[in-house]
Amino acid sequence: MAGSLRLDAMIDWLGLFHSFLPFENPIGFGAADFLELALAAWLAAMFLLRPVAEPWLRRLALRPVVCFLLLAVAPVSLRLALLPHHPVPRAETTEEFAILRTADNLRHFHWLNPAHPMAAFFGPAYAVAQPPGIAIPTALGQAAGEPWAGMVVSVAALCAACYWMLQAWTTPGWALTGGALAVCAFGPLNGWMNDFCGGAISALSGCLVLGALPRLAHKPRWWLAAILAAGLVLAVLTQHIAIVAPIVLLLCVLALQFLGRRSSGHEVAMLLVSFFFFRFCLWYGAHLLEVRGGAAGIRQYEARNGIDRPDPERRAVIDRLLSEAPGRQLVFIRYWPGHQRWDEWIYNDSDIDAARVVRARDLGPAENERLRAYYPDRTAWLLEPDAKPPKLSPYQPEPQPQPVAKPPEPAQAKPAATKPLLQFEEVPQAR
Amino acid sequence: MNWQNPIGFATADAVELAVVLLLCGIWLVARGRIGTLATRFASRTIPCMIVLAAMPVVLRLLLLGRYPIPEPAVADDFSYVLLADTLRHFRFANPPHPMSQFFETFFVLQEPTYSSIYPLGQGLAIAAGWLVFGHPWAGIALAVGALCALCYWMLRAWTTPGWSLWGGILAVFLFGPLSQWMNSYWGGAVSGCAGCLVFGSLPRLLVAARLRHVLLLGAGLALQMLTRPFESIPLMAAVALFLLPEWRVWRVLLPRMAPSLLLVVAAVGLTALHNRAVTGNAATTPYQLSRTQYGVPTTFTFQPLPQPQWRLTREQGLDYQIQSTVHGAGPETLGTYLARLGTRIRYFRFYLLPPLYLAVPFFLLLLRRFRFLWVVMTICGFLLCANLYPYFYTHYIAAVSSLFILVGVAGLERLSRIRIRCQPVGDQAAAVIACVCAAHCLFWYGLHLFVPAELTASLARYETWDAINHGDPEGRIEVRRRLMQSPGKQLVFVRYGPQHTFKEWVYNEAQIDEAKIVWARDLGSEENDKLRQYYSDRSAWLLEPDARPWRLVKYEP
Repeated sequence: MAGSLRLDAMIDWLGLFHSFLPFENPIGFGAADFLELALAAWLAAMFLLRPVAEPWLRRLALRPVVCFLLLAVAPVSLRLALLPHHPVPRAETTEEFAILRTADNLRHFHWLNPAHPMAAFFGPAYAVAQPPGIAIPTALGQAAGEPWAGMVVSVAALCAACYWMLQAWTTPGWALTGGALAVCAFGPLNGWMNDFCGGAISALSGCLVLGALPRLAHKPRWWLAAILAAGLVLAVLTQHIAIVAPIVLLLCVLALQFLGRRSSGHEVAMLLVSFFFFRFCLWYGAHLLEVRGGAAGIRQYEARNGIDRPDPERRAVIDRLLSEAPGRQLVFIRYWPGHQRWDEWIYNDSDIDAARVVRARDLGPAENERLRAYYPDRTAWLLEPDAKPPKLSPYQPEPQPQPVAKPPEPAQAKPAATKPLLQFEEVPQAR
Repeated sequence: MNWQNPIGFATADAVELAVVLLLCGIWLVARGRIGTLATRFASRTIPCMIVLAAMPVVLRLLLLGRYPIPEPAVADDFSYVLLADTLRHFRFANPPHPMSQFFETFFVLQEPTYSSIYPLGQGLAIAAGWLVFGHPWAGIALAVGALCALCYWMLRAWTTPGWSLWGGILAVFLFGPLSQWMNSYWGGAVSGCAGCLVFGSLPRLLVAARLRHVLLLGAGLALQMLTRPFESIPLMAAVALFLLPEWRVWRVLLPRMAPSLLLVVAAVGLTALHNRAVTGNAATTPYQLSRTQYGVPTTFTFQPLPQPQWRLTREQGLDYQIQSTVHGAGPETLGTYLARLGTRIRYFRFYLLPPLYLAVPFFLLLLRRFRFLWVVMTICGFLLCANLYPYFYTHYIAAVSSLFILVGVAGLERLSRIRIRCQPVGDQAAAVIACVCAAHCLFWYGLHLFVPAELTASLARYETWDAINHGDPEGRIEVRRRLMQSPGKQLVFVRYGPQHTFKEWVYNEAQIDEAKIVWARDLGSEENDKLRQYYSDRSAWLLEPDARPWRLVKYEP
């Protein structure tokens, strides 16, 4: 943190990144100029340091256990370093809540929950069925006290497993390179580490299968067969497209290895790998330093950004308020018109009635009263997540709008035979 | 948007892919058979110069479909074109016009002659292109071609043929098709050529004092004197400084320098003739007379503010006020001088691509040799001199543009000699920096040549220091086209809105009365009628350039 502050102070003093307009920047550089300079410096340094770094990396690649551990630790530590600017992610989408609930079921060793008598208040997260495999990391995390911890561990396992898989297909050097590529691709900035959808566990199954197969062909062993079987079972349980990720990684590494054998190809392969690492370091650095001012404009060009959640703080604030309230709680969620469909707030534990906080859809005063009667011992709240910031207030039933008598329509000759093109049913308004 | 793109690519993805493909492609080409052939070709001076001279011209012509021939757009452009127009009629000045009050504009004298205020050099280049190819911009393009070829020639005296060729190609992209120097009439290339001639001749003279090198040195000095008289002072000082430690060869060299001196004297004589023709006094430049009459261009920072002696138009008055503000009323101090000098560092980017900044520290390793120290001293000398003027544009120090390229090239060459653990890794590091430079050039040029305008526009704010003319933003091309299509001769009264600043529309050819279109200020119907009577055979128009969109209608008093 102190280092980051010192760097910020130095940059501020130089004023290098205050503006990317050439006539305002002290050295006349625009954003693209800085990127170019950084890329050229990176690539030149790669070539210059090669005689020193390459023998060291070759020696490292010959120590598989160390590599395995390094590649497992790297994504975790890199992500933890981002926590000051990118806090622990929270579930936000219907799919994620469904996975959390599946994980909760797994943790309690039951597959299904009995239908709730007030189910209309708790959809749609309950309606979405998720394959149990992808909820395994979350379940492990929940058991440890933080669901996201399971996701972090699954990514760590994936990166290490990528290395293990590649060892069976290529040289130790390329296996280590592939493992490092996996850290960059699936690590701290990837959605698999920052959501609860379980891509990493599915990709892990692919690694297990692809890593076990060539080894089995070479020398059949019972534990390799067990790993293969575990991979296959996991693949069936997860049913996720992420299973192809290790195949893509393997093909890329093999292609690079093939290229490296050609004349001048080794340097081109090195250029490609270096460029990939540069790209990762660039965006990781941007997230780590949380660049400000003119430099922040660069972030809009970050494609496939899996780390930025809309606003994790808003959920944390509401959760904290509810946890501080005494007794058990019932929260009616009222979405405003234009609410984003993916931004889900209605989620509950698998055993709803036993949960300390129950979140329910606001179905209007009359219906809500039924739920309040069902949960007479709970304090009722109204949450409006679309307010900025989200608004949590004690629930107060509103008076039912009385039907207003329509004034008599002026006598007008109506064609009796014509039917309206569209007919709207009158729906009682919640507010 | 990556979710809307058929292959899921966002802009950054497409740019990344393009950069990677370019990098790998250039690497394979440069390190392969073509690279070997290019290195062999680099030692053939004349063919290389021909190729390098043709490259910027051909590359710019290929862009004509999307980026038309640049039109004069700012006051300096018009004044240079007027100078060239005057010269192509084989005279230095035009007689004053009897209705000159209608033709008042920036940087043009109306009395005692109707002339541009600028020195001859740039006008000569434009006039030459105009005479041969029928369009003033041809002169600009030819000058840029000459600059690129001469950059290579200059570098040959300083470094290996391979690096010289690479430096020449760098010049093509720095000062070529996308550069302000090729897409305006202000120039830069002519003074750049002068610098190349001088800096290329000096090391050759020390090897063998041949007549052609003496002549080329003189030609460079003379050209600089004709183009940028003030900046010829640091150039001459640089020549003297270069020869100073070589006192052993003075006895051989100095007697042979007479042709150089002769050319410089010829340039001085030509300037005096020009001055006399325009101002009536051989010792008074048109530039100085403009300062006396209009108060612009402003004085050096150590001089008091000029006071205009003539009554200025509203726009001229505004220009005078702005220039006076930039100049500042207070006295120059060391603090203000240094503060201004600091702001000029940003202009280095015009002469060096970003990756070449990495070569600068390696160039510093060469400073133990006097000639490389001299390069730094020369650049600093130019900067210090140019800093005496409140404004700064890249063409002010265009003469040292080739030295900036030399800094980059020599730095890379030094880097390429670095070995670590007996491995020649410096060569690869220098090659990869050169490849990033090449990728930069090809990326932006390719973007302008092939990519749809919408995508080019979305990336435009990331393209720094390139200044190719985009379309017809002010409508000048369209207005001109309409007037040219109208039958007979035209007279256009230009009426500015109250918010109008410096975008001048009143500009005329050297021979106003013979021109197809005469542009005049709108001085009110009574005065305008006098001009209409003077040009009774012309159709009168009223142009309101500040209307949105601009408005061109038949003139009705």
